[in-house]
Parts: sequence; structure tokens; C-alpha cells
Amino acid sequence: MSDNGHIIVGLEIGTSKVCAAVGELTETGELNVLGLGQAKSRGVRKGEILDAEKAGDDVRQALAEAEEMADVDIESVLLAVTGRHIECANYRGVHTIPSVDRAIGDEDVQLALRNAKSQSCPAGSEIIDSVRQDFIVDDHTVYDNPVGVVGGRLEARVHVIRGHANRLATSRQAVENAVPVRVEKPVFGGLASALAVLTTEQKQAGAVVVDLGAGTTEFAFFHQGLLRHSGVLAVGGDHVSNDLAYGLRILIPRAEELKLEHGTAVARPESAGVQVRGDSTSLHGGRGVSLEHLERIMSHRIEETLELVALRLREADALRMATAGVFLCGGAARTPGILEVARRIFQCPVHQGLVQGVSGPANVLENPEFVTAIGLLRYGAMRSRQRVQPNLLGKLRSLASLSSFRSFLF
Amino acid sequence: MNSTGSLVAPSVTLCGVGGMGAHLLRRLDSSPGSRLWTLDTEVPAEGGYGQGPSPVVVGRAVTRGLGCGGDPAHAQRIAEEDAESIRAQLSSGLLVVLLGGGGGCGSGMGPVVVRLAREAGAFVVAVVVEPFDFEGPLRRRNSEQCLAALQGSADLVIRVSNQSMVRLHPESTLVHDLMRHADEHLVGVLEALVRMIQGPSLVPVGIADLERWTRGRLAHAVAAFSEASGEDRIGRLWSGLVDHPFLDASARFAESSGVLLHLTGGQDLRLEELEWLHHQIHRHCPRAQLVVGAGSEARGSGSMRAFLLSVHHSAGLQATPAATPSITYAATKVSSAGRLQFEDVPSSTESPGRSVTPVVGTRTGTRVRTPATKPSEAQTQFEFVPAWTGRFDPAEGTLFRGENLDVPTFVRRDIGLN
Repeated sequence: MSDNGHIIVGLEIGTSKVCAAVGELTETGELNVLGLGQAKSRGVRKGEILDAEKAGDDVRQALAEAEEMADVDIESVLLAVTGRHIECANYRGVHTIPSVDRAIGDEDVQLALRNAKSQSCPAGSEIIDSVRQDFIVDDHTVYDNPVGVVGGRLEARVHVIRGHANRLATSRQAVENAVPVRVEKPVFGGLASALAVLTTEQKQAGAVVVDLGAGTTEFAFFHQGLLRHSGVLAVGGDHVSNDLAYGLRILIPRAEELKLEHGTAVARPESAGVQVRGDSTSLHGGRGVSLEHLERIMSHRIEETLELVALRLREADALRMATAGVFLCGGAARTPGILEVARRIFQCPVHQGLVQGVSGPANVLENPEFVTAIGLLRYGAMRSRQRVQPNLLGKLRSLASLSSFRSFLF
Repeated sequence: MNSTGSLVAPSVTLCGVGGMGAHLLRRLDSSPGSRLWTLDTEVPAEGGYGQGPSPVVVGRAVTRGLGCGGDPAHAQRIAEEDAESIRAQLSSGLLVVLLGGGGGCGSGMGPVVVRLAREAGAFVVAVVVEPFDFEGPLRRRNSEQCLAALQGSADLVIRVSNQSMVRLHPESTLVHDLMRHADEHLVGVLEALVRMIQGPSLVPVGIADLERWTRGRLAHAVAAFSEASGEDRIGRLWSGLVDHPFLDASARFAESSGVLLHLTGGQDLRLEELEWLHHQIHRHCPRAQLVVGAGSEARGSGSMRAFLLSVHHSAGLQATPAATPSITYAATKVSSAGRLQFEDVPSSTESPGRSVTPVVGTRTGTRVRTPATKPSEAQTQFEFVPAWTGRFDPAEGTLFRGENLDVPTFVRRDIGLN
């Protein structure tokens, strides 16, 4: 990051690719994408690093490309993390108000929040982000900001995203050992994607973002401007390729090719009896495979993945409250027919998730694969705004305003 | 053991062995029609049982009423020598033996009581409360040895892990509260077990059914109990079961070789609710042989209670000559007309006498990985496990509510490609 602190770098070590994005936060608060770097990922499976050396090489390549394009020296990065070790849950913390007049103060709020956090972090885990939800005073009244309210018992509700400490350290070290940059903070990839895709109005109205990645599928639900629910399934596009390879008895690279060329989320009746061979110039070409089988295998996997996400969202009553709908991003979001399937499963409006509120090359902003890296820039921008106004932070805490970055004050 | 089709009303006896067994009997509400008795080596306990039944004290001459000092071997000798006193309390029917596995009296005398009861013709369910981790390795070892002894003699061993309660509570929880919660869960399970055998039935599950279900399995089980009412009661009932602390982890539940579900509800119990639960179990435990029963009660409508037993084969039984297991999948068909009994059709891959460490599941075309059963053996050979998970490591399966999502969806959903 440059000296003035307005350069933000996001890095995503994904299962299929490593993406780096360099952004600039202008004095007027606009976020511009200055550079992007990308490398094929080789050391990651289901979102977690299995081969740190290979992952480090890929990170080096992606960061070098982004650095050159943006013409800046990268000093620190925000690192997107995911994987099945990530757990997202809501916790409550209770604090009994000791003061005589029973008026709740800012310290009481912090103590209630601290109690909630202390419950949410068992040994061996590390909190990545925690987002305050609301407060209950004396078991009945719900407040956005309880400061000044008279009551005896304050309960804070917090959404906590945490991960396995060792696995987070593995990701961090894979970057810091490969390149001379500092990992400023890990950020849950699903949260970053949601920040990139959703506008303030959509977060206020209620919206879900589902990031269909190669190794994992992440989701995040915003309502009334706050992150209410999130999660990750260690299932993604790699599972589609794996199913195809198994079912069609072909090698994984060929399955990947066929998925990209002929893949669809809906099995079509007209595919019956059709044989496809994939890219004729490819080394992996060979005997033809049944398009009907390909579509059937793929559609079942995609349908199941979306069903599992819907199940998790319904448990939190998120789909009912998502009046702005569901937004799909990530590589698999480009699969033909996936929006129709998702509408049937989620029973609400479903849209393609595109980057919002960031300026930069159109071909990048329209590409759903860069969503997470660009979301990291927005996450960093929100943190920077807080950092440059440190004297306001305390006031903001107590006011608990409904600004779009309220969720990061805790 | 009881013969099936007995016309005699089922007799249920609950026997508490040692301090923990007696403690649990005191916590149980009076169970009409069931007899309670306790067995101990400590005389002081004789006068201190409050509302509970008076204990049969054995080994007075040896221990002078001072207990067995936490020594299971000593307690076992005492029970063997005083076998006649124990036999006098035993009868046929269902005997539920409650004991704490960590102490000396329960873990030493429990297996003796079980053996004598089996000789007296009883169907014996042993309920073993395993100690908390903080109770130390000695009590843990006692418990493991007790379980090993019981699995060779009892018809069914229900394991109750106290430690599983710990993860539900924050570290600041008072020990007293923790133990009270553990007791409440256990008492709920025991009452549900007795209710299943003795309560009014719509779809009965009796001692004979239990016997057929567990015959030849030498199985151990975990039990769960749940209650729900109001809107979406069936969904919340199911959540209560699968999240129950005694079920341990959902992955383990998914690998059950048998599941028994008994529902109790009022007049408003609906067929679709039974079928929904049946479907859920089938989805979560594709390998499990399933028995479903239902009871009715006069309580206000809207409330439903469920009791679930998840059975696993005992690991390592083949290495125990005394056990001489013949792992078979006993048929659970009930011939009596009008008797609803749901049953899973055993797959052709499940044949009588097969190994107790199956690699593949039973649902047609489904493959489910079973985990290594002895994680403590760090340096040993490992078996070749045929993987249906392709590029994904079978040891790192993506489990979601019991299903391994790394296995292709079309395989798990049994979608044909021809």
C-alpha cells in the first residue's frame, strides 16, 4: 500500500485462479480499479492451500502482474479466505448494567459485545470478522443503539465469521513467504463478493449473494444494511468436473473443457442421442461422449449445490426477507440456464451479480470471476474511511448509524 | 431371552448399578408398570436414597459396607460371589441396566448383572454413562473396559457421553448446571425408552422387535430424545434429534447401521409427518436398517415426542474370540396384519456374515465412506478404500448432514445414465 494509504490491494487465492486487484480510493470516496493480475492456481483445493510453494509462485505471478499494470509498489494486501473451516454463526452476549441510574453507556455496549465474542471463539479458532446485529434491553425491546436507554440487562447479538487459526496462518504465510508484502487482514471471500455486488439500497432491502467458485460456494445475506447470515459449502465447480469425469469416464482436463463448452444447468430433451467431442484441437479430445449424460450429470450437481445453499438460507429465514433477490457470481454463475434453475429453487428473483460502485475497465467489472478481488477493495475502502477519521470512530460507535459500513465498526 | 409373540404384558425393570445408576433412578419420574431396583456395595448409600428404591447391597462381608474403592475387578468379584442375591431380583422381560462407566462399582458389577439377567431370560439394554474428560484417564479407561465387557454380553449397549454435553455449554458454566443438564437429557431418553415399550401404541415396537433388530449385531447405540409442538413441529422435532448432544456428530449418525425411531403424539399425528421423518432418516443414513414405531398419548394435541436409537457395529469385535460375531442384517418384517412397520430393503451388497467394516453403502448405487475406526493407531497399515470421490481425497470428505458431497450427485441420487 502506498504511503498516503489510498491504495488498496485485494488478493484471492482461489481454487482455479489467483486474482489480485489494485484499487485507489480517491479523496471524494470513489474507488477505481488500477490494475489486475491473474494466475492459474495449482496448490489449492476446496478453497484451502494444499501446496504452499505452488500457491506462493502463483501469488507472486498475480501480484507482479497487478503491480505492473497499476504502476504501484504493493506493501500489504487484504487476503480473501474460504474453505470448510470457516464457520459463520450468530452469538449473543449479555451484560448486566451496574450503574445506579441504569442508563446504558458505550462501555456497557462494548462489554456485551465482548461477551458475545468470547463465546464465539473456541480454542484453535480465530475470528475473521464480527458484525453487530442489534441489542435487546431487559429481554423485550430491540434497539439498533442502546446507549442512553435505561435498563438492567443488555443483550448484544453478533454475527461472527471465524476460521481455523492454523489454516488461516497457512494462507497468510503462503503469501508472506512468497512475496515481500504483509497480509493486512484475512477477509471471508463470501463477504467480499457480497460487498462488490450489492448496492447500499439492496443491502438495506435484503439481498443474498451466492458466489459459485471452483472449490467452494459461499453465500452472504444482508438486511437493513447489515450482514445477517453467511456461510460456505466446500462444493464448487471442481465437483462438476469431477462428476463429469467419473460419469463419462474421461480425464479431469477433458471434463473441464466439456463443461466450459457444452455445460448447462438444465438438461435439455433435444440433447438425447447427441455425441460431443469437445475442443477438436485439444490434446484431451478423443471419443465422443453423450451430451445427454453430460447435461444430466451437471444439472444434478448444480441443482443440488443451489438446494443446499437454499436450505441454509431458509434456516435463517433469509430468502423470505431477501426482497432485492439473490445475486449469483463466481465462475459457475456463467453456466447457461443457471438463473432459471436458481429462481425455481430459491423461489425469488435471481440476478447475475456484477460489480457495482467501482470504476475500471468494463471487461473486468462485467466478469463475475473478479468479483471477490474487487470486493476486497471495497472492504478495504470502508476500513480506510474509518482510519482517516479516527476521531469520528467513537462517535460512530455510539451513534451506530445505518451507514453502509456500520457493520465494520465492531 | 423372550420369545417373539409372547402374550404376556411387557415387564420393564430398571436397575441402577453403583452410585451413578442409583442417582439416575432417583431422577426418573415414577414409571407406572416398571420396577426399579439398585445394586451397590456401599451401606451408607442404603439410607441415602431419598425417594429412590432401596438398594441391594452386596459384598458386606468383604467391604464392610465401605464400597469397592473404585476398583472394577474388586467389584466384579463381589458381584460374582453374591450372585444369588442378584439373581433373586431378576426376571424375564426388558431389563435396563444403568451405570456409570468410570466408577468401580458400575463398571465392575454391571457386566455381571447383565450376564445373570441374560441367563434369566431378560432382554438387556445397558446404558453406560461415560465420564467427563476432566475426571481423568483412570475413569476413562474403566469406562472403555466396561463397554468392551458389556458389548460382548448385553443385547444392546447405549452409550451416553457426558463429555458431549461440554461442547454445548460455555466454559463459564457451573459444573452443577452442566451435570443437571446431562441428567435431564439422560432421563428424557430413559423415559422415552420405557414409554416406547409400555405406552399405548399405534405402531408398536416391543421387546421382541428390539430383540430381532439387534440380534447378532453386538451393537452399541446412541440415543436421542426430542419434543416439539406448534408450527413446523416436525421440522423442529427432527432438528432436536439430529442436534441432540448424545448423537455425537452428524457424520457418525450418518453411518448408523440401524436406526429406530419412535414417535409419540396426540390425535393429530399425521401420516405425512411419519413419512417425512422416514424420508429424512433414509436420506441421512442410507446404510441404516430402519424401524419406525408410533405411540399415542392423551396429552393435549399439538405436541410430538420422538425417541431415536442409532446403532453401530462394535469396532474390533472380530478380534475378540469370545464375542464370535456373526454380523447379519436381521429381517424386521412383522407379519401381523395391519401393523405398520417401515423397513428398508437391504441392498444386495449387504450379505449375512459380511465384514463389520463395510466400505460401500447399501442404497443402490450409493457409496458412502466409513472412517477409520482406530485413530489412536498412528503407525499401522491402512486399508485400500475404493473411492468414488475422484480427485478429492476420500479422507477429507465434504460431509453435509451425513452425505458425502464429494461423491457425484448423480450417484447419490441414483440417476441412471442409460
